[in-house]
Amino acid sequence: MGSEIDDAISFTDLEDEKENILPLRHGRSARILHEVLSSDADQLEIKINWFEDKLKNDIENKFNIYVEYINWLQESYFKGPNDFLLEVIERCLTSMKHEEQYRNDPRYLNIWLLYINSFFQDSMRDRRDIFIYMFRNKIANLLSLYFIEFSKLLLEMGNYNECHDFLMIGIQNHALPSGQLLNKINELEEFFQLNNISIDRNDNDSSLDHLLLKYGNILILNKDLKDILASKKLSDNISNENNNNNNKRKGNNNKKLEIRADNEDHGDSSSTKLDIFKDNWTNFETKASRLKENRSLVTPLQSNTIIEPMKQEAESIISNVAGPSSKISIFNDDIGRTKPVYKLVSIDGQKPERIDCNFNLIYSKDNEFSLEQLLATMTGCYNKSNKRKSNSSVEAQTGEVKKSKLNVDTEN
Amino acid sequence: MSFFPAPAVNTSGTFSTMANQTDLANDIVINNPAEDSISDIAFSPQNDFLFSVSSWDGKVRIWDVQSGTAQGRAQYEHSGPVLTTRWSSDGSTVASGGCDNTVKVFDVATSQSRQVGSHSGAIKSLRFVNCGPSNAECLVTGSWDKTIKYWDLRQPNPITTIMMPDRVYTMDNKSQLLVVGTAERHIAIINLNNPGTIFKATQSPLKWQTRVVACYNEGDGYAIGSVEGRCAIRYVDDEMQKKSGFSFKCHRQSNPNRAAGSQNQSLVYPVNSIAFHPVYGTFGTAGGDGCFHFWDKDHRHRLKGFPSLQASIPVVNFNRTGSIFAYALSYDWHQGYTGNTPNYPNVIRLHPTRDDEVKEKRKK
Repeated sequence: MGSEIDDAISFTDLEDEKENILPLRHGRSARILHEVLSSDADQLEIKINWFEDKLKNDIENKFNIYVEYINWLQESYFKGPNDFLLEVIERCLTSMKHEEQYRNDPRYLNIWLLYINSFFQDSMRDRRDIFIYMFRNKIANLLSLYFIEFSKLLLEMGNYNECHDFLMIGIQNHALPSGQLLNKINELEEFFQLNNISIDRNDNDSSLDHLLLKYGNILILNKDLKDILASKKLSDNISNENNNNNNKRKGNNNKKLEIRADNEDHGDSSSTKLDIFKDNWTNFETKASRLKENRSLVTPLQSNTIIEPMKQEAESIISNVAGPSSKISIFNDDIGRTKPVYKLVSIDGQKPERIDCNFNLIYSKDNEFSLEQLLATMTGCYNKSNKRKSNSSVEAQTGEVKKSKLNVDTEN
Repeated sequence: MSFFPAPAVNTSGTFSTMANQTDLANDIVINNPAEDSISDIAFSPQNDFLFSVSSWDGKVRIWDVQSGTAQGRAQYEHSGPVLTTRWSSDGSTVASGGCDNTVKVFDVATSQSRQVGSHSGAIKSLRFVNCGPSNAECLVTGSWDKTIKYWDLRQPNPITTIMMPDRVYTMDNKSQLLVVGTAERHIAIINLNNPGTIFKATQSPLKWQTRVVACYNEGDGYAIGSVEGRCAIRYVDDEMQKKSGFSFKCHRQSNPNRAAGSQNQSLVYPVNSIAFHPVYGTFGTAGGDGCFHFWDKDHRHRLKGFPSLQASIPVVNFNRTGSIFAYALSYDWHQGYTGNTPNYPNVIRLHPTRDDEVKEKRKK
C-alpha cells in the first residue's frame, strides 16, 4: 500500500467517492484525497479539534492559523456539508476585520474572495454587496486584486461605467501592484471599443465622486460617512446632505416618492439589499443568519446511486413548521358515485353476456323492482304510494276483489 | 329478380342492414320537451301528427307536428310523475296515470282534465279497450298495487278490479287480447270477451325481469322484452306457440375495448320498449343502448338497425298509419342515480319511416 502511494494514486479508490468531492478552482491533490479517504472520520475530528484549540490559545498567531486551517479544510474536509468551511471562514473574516495589519494582507483578501466565490455564486447582488461592504470597511482597498475582482463583477452585471470608474478609484488609491490595474483598464477600454460601448468620460471626477458616495466611502466635513451614520442623531441630516449631493435626486425628494426598481442601479447606498450595509455596517452577519432559508439535509452520495429528483422528506420538514401533518384529501367528483354496475351472465356454449343494468338495484333484498319503481323511489313518490296502499288496503277488501283473487288462484 | 332497394342487398346473407346517421337526419327533433325524463308517448288514433307525451315532471303534453316542426297544443298536470298515456279510439280524450295513483282524462276539445279514479299504487300502464259482449270502450289501468281496473269514464268507481300476481310493469292490448306483464316475470293473459278473469297465467320464458310486452296486430300473441337484451315472441295458442314461438337477442354489442386475451363478452342492454307497426305488423324495439331496430317476427330477421344515439330510449311508438316512429331519449335509470348526469339528453325524435325499413321483405 505504501509503495502505491509513493508512485501514483489509484483512481479506483477515489471512484466511489468522486461525486462527493467538492471541486476546487486550482484542482485537488489526488494524494491528499486518497489519504483522507483511507483515514477514519475520527482523524479529521482530531485535526479540527487541534486547529480549534490552537486558535483559542495562540491569539498572536491567529490569522496564520486561520489561513492554515481554511486551506486544510478545503483540501481535506470535502466530505459532507461544507457548512463547516463556511462557518470557519465567516469566523475568520469577522474576527480579523478590525485588525489593521491584515486589512490589506493578500491572504485575507483571498479568504474574502474564497468566501464570495464559493458561497455566493448564484447571486450577483450578494456578491456586489459584500464587495461594497469591504469597500466601506476599507478592506483590501490598497490591493489591485480587489478592484479587479469587483470590476469583473460589475462588468458581469453590465455596469460598464462603474466598472471603469472603480478601476480608476483603485488607481487613485495607489493600489498595488498598479501595473495590473493599468493593464486591466486598457483591457477594459479595448473591450468597450470592440463592443461599441460608450462610457461617460467627460465628467470623470464627478462620476468618481458619485461612485464613492454611492458606495459610501466619502469624507464629509472630514468625517467618515460611516462614522456619521453610526451616530443615529445625525443620520437625518446626513441623508439630506446625501440628497443634495446627489444630482439625480435633487429636488425630487419632497414631491414624490421614488419607485424603486430592482434592475435600475442608480440611487444611493440604500440600494444595497442588506440592512447591515446601510447603517450599522460594522456588524457582519453570517450567510445563514442573513438568508434565513430552510435547507435540505446534505448527505454523502453512495456510489452507483441514480440521482433522482430529491425525495421530499415532507414529514421531517413540514412538521417543524406546521405541527402534526395530516394529508389533505383532494376533492374528487367521483366520490359517492359508483362505476356502472354490470351483471355477468354466462351460459354454457355461448358468449358470456355483460348486462348494462344494475341488477343490485332491480333485484335488491330478494325483491324485484322495475326501473320506474327505482326512479319513483328516488323521487320519493313510491313510498307515498306504498303508504296509500297500506291505508287503503282495508277499503279495498271488497267482495269483487276477493272473487277476482280466487280466479287468479284457480288459474294458477 | 329483386324488389329490394339497394341497401338491402348485402353480402352477409342476412336481410339486416345497418342504417347510419344520415338515415336519422330527417328526424324531427324536440329538444327538452319536458323538465324530466319521458315516460310514454302515444299517438292519436284519428290524427297522424298529434301525440301526447307523459313525463316524470308530472305533466302530460300534447304535441302537433302537422307543420313539420313540433308545436305544443296543450298540457295538463298530475300531482306526481306521469308514467303512461293513451288516446281514446275517437281521438277526443287523452288518459294518463302515474305516481299520484290517479287516473286522469283530458278532453282535447275543451282542454279540461279531470280525475276518473285511483289505485292504491302508482299507475304504470293504461289502455283503451273494447271489451265484453257489448264491445263497449273502456279504460283499463295497471298499477303497482298489483291490480288492474276497468273504468267507465263516466263513473267514479271501477267496473271491475282484477288482482294480478304481482306489480304491473307493462300492459298491452290488440283487439280482444290484453296482456299484462308483472314483476317476478308473471304474464297474465286476458280475453276481453271475458274481461273479469285472467284467461291464462304464465311466466315469461326469459330469465330476467320483464320490461315490456306488446301485442301483435292479429291479437294472437305478444312479444316480451326483458332487461337482459332479449325478446320473446309468444303466441297465446299452445300449438301456435310450439310452431312459431321463439326468442332472440337484441340490443347488445361486442365489447370493443376488451383486453387482449380476455374472453369476448357481449355488452347487453335492457329492452325498454316494443311497438308494432299498425299496418305491416313488423315491430320496433328500443333499449338502454340508445339504439332502435325494426324486426320482422314472421321471417325472423332484422329489417333495419340504427346506430346508437348515446342515450337510453325509454319508449317508442308508431303513429296510426306507421308513417312516424316516435322515440324518446331520456335516462331510464338502468344504472340507478349513479348513471344520471345533469346534462343527460332529454329529447323526443320523430323518425319518418320508409317502407324499406319497416315493411316485411318478400322472400326471393
